[in-house]
Amino acid sequence: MKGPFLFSILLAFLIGCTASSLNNPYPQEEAPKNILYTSFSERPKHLDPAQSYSSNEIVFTAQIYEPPFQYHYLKRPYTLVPLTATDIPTPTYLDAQGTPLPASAPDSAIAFSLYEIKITPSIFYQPHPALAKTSEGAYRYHALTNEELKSIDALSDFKETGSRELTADDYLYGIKRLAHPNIHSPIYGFMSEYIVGLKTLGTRLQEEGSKLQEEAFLDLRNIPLSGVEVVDRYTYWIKIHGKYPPFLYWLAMPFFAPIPWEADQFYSQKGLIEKNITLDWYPIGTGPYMLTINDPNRKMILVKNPNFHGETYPTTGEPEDQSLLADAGQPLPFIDKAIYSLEKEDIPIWNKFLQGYYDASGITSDSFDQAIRMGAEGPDLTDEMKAKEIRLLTSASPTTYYMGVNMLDAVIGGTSASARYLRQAIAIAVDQEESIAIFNNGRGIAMQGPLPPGIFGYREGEAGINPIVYDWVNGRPKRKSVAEAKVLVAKAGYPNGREAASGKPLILYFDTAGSGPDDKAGFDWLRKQFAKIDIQLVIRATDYNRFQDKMLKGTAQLFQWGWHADYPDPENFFFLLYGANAKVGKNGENATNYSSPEFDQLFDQMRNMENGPNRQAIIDQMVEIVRQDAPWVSGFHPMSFGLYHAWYTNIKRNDMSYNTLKYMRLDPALRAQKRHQWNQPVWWPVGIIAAALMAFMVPAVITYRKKEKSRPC
Amino acid sequence: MARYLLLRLLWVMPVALGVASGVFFFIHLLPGDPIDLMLGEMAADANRVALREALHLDEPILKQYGRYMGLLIQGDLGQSFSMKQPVLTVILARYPATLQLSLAALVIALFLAIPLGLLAALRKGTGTDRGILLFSLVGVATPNFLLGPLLILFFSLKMDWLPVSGKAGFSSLVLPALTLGIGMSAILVRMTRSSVLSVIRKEFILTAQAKGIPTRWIIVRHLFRNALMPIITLVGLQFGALLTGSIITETLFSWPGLGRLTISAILSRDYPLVQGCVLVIALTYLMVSLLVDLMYAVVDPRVRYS
Repeated sequence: MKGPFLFSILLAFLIGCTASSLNNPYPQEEAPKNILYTSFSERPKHLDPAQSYSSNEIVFTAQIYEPPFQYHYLKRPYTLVPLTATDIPTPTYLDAQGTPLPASAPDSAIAFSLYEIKITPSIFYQPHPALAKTSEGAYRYHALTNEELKSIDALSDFKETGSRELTADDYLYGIKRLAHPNIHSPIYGFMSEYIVGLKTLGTRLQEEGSKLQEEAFLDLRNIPLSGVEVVDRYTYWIKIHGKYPPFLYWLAMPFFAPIPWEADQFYSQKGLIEKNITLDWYPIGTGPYMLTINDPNRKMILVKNPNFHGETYPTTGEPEDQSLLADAGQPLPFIDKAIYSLEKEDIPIWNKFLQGYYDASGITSDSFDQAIRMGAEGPDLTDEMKAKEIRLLTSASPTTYYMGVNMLDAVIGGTSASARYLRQAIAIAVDQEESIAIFNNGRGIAMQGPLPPGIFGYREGEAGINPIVYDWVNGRPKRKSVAEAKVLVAKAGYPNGREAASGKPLILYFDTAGSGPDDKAGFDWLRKQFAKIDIQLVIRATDYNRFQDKMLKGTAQLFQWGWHADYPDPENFFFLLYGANAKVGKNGENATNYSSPEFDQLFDQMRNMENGPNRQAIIDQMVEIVRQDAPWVSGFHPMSFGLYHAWYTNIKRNDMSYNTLKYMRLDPALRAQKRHQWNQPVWWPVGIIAAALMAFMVPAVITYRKKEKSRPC
Repeated sequence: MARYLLLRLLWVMPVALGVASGVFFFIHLLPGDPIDLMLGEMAADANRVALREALHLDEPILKQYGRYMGLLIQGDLGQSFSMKQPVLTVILARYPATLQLSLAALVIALFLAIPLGLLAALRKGTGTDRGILLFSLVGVATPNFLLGPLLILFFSLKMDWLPVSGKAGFSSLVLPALTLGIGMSAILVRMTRSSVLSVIRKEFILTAQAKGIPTRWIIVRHLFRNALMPIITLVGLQFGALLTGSIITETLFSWPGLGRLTISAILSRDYPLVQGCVLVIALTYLMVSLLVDLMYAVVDPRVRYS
């Protein structure tokens, strides 16, 4: 009878545990704490602000590093506001001799633009061993001995930390690091075309290769950068070639964050590099959070920076933001700690969110129907979500996914009327609305032009439709009929999908690196779209490298491509169609190799203009040219959907800015209450199992004992 | 015995070198450039060249191979591209988690498989036997990527008993261990059943019964012990597979083990880490296989190694 007895003990023990939820994946003592729980699916490769560029990296670096500017949390369209700077500077334009020019000077006369940035005094770095000093004022850990290194395996093993005030020199140092050949900054090539002297600095650093062993510290303070100068402790200026207004947006990215030289020297010690204690692994910043645990194969933890300067919650927003202004003027950040756990699969993330163990969640295709009901009024939460007081926030992402045509292709590319008709016919035939409904659960807006919503120049309503593809019917765009598309195919010289002269069927090729089962459904759908206008589409799947090679050589025909805005300016989308940025021969971002002298001329005019009616008029012309030429035959702008629990507040979707953790607020008491309510263990199966076991065991034991007793000795 | 052990251990070296060589060349055949993955598309060409040189990826493949083998012979598995730490350090940090999960799964598998296999054999042809065989069939046919979510659905979402995923204490070990253990037990049940059936009609069992030895003693001391050899072989093979092949389960349950590390190393084209992981996997198999061979001698006194 020991079995049932032990089982009863175990059962009693389990029941005794029900004061806390059994399925809680976190330590019980964390329950009342102000900790945000979230996840990441891909480990960040770089946390050095000069290197980091991916969205899964900037999620962390943006909370730690502070460039001079940031985007206003609530205002739309996206607006730059100072972060560590005192204000947003107006550039001074200079001619080739350095003489100041008026703001109205023609672009051709402007040789340089000068940005003078003043930073706020009394901003301090997070506590960090690189800044720790001895009582004599020497840096405590800048010359570590082998003995000291023995006890160091992580940054937290250093017993002493220090801090110091942020100065303009740190910004200069950070910009110089973009040119450091050992850092491999992804924007060095691009920025060296703009920042005066950056290319020269890069060349000089390359030449000093013998000094630039991986382990060596190269003190960048001793090497000048002619385009950036420190005026005083809190002021520096940056000189760039020509006129480039979007440069201010770049200054809101972590690439332009300050780096204290002490950190560079500290992290250059060979013993630390060998233990992977580097700036790429342990950032140092002035931001609201600091990275205390970096185990990217398991979890990463951000903790509130005790030295964070007194930034406060915004006091203004859009008219619909009244509920988000309850904390106006309150000191930031609100959350004490953020724990990011690595989750490769969607199922655990979704289930933990439903249990209240993650505070927010995206929505995958698998869980979409459980979370969202699509109605005539747009997306709405299901009753299950509403019962849990979960909120749905949506936003149009500043992203364009498009099917591009290689304009160098002999059949479908080029500027001939025939090829243009063909592209226009495809633009009509590929039913993007259907694709969004099938493959994106309705989360997207069919492309009307290269610009996504939220970017200056995008037009809503009837004025914004692509008249080649749509008619405006009953207050909404209606895709033109397949019959109209067939007429265009015939005009292109392919009546019924056959070449008029030879009678050969028209076969087009879609080049892709996708070959998985999910891709196959998409390809089947795409073939059907082309078949509607009697065109045979052949899918040419290949590996990623070969696909890239085809794009570089211009041997692809049709392909899928996409772009997410670096900054909220139409220039950041139109440059994807600028002739000088062609992929073939120039390795630029113009994947279609589209080249239109008229478009290019308008682009040169538009790129440096301030937003306003004049710029809008030029943009309208550019959009019209692209619609007519149709190098992007079809596409869509995705919608971001996010679900948030009731205890997680102050949230406004922001697809441009990532340093938003500081604005968010939690109600841990409400969270603990809801978790307890939603995760009450169900015990009846245990009772049934126990009863079944007893029913089985008792007769078995009685029978066995009888049998043993009846056995002759 | 000692000589046998020494010989087996000596064999490990050429096998390990062969595995290391095979993996080295195979991983270099994979499409995808680690430099692209590390620096991204926007990196300047000069930076690509510099990093390629720094990682010696610009050298001829045979020279890279020579460098790798030279280090390997000295016990150095190299430096991980992505983790920027010695490969051995990275692997050793993950190995205990995999070992913990594998051992837990093994315990579950044995706890389920041995009694059920024995019961099925002792009740051959009855409803009990058929029921157990059905369990075994379903268990073998259910892949981990299906069983895992089902267990999450039942134990975590419906019953609220166990955490969905993560590694935070004993409770978070249960579901991944069950996922692996049930699959393994399904195979072991069949092996136990057939192995016991092959012994149950032997004359020494009849003799033991004729001598009036209690049934449980016959089962434990005579029947089961003699049926154990093929079971040990299978347990050894399965345990090796558990240590190295729990990639799906580790990924699903966010278990920070060796399987997940191997996958992420492959995806990031981290050549040294992939090579290190596969080498450790191969060595694990060899060691488990050696352990199984040694256990034969423990279980069966007739087995002697010389």
